[in-house]
Amino acid sequence: MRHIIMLALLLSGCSLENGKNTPIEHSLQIKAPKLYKTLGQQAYETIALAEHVESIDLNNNKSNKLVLTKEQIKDLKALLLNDENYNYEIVKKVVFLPSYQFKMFHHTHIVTVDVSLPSKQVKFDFEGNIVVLDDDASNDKFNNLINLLK
Amino acid sequence: MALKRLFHYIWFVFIFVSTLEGAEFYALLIGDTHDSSIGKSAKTDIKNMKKEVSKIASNAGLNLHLTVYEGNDATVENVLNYINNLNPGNDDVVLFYNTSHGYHKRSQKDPWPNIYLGHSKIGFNFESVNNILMNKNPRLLISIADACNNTFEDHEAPQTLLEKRFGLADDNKKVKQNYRTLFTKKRGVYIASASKAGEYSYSYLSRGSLFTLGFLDAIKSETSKASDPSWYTIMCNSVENTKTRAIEVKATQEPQFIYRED
Repeated sequence: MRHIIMLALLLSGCSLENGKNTPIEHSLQIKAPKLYKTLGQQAYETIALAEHVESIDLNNNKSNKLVLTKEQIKDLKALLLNDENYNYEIVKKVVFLPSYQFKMFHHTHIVTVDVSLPSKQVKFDFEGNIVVLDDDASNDKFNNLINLLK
Repeated sequence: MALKRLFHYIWFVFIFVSTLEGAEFYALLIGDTHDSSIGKSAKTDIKNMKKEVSKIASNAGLNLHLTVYEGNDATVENVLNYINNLNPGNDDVVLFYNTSHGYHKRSQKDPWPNIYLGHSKIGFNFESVNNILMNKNPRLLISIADACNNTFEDHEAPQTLLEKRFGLADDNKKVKQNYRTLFTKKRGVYIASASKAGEYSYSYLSRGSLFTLGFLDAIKSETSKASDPSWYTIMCNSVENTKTRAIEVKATQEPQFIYRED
């Protein structure tokens, strides 16, 4: 029995070394491994499992809070949890001016996602840990995000 | 009488020793190292620049006065106080270097960025800083703003104040001589920003900023290769190095510079 456990541990170690998913990653169906690594497990989990999302248009009526429908949440997650939408190599040295804000709730955790249209950047704020990523200029991520709100 | 002679002798020795000493080298390095997006990279920039500044001082025989404002010390107040209190002699060298966010206001007439420091949450005008420094008449002024220069509408912009290795050892005689030529013989003003008005500047996520790396590569290349090193060549190569790095990461970035050789 002990050998089986040891073998299982060894194999799980090998699978990790081979770059395969951890048990947590399996349960979340990690779609953006680079983002997972960049944000950390809890922040990624909060976005991936968020069941309630509020959005605010910061350019216009800041008090006009919109609660996203299940379908919109699904679309938002698909946009955010896609490594191809981000540039992981460089970042603009620009003052971040947020245009839209999404608050994503999962249990007691909140991730605030600010989107800047002028600089085409996304800022993730999870309990004070902030990560700013440039968009990948080769796709329509930002237009897609804005269309979500219409 | 003997006392008078002794006094003259001491005075002569003092003057003689003073003239043997190199000129002063005032280097101000500012890095927004606590920023959530470019902080890591700014830290690398500051580290690289510190190393280069020490190299300049030792190779050119200059007396280094290094001031670094990073993290919580990277405030507009600290920077402006430093600049206002700086009093270089007319044979001295001044280096102003900044790595941070930046912006250009729609109504702005000059082509330079405003430098934004996150800890102060306000910006200051790069051109005004350069005017202050030029009026202090150092022999050589090198002023660099590695920051974005993209356009913001005035109402959006933050509050703005002042509206490859060559295989040669660094102690190689030629390198030393070239540093001496650049920093103790050349006179003039060289002002550069990492991008043109309306354009972005980029940094790698942690390896430093494209322009700062391009500038350091240009200094290394010029001090290692050229027989008669020139600041103009360094500035031109800084621009080209930056453009090449930008193309490699599928971005566009074109630095700008002006110069006056006395």
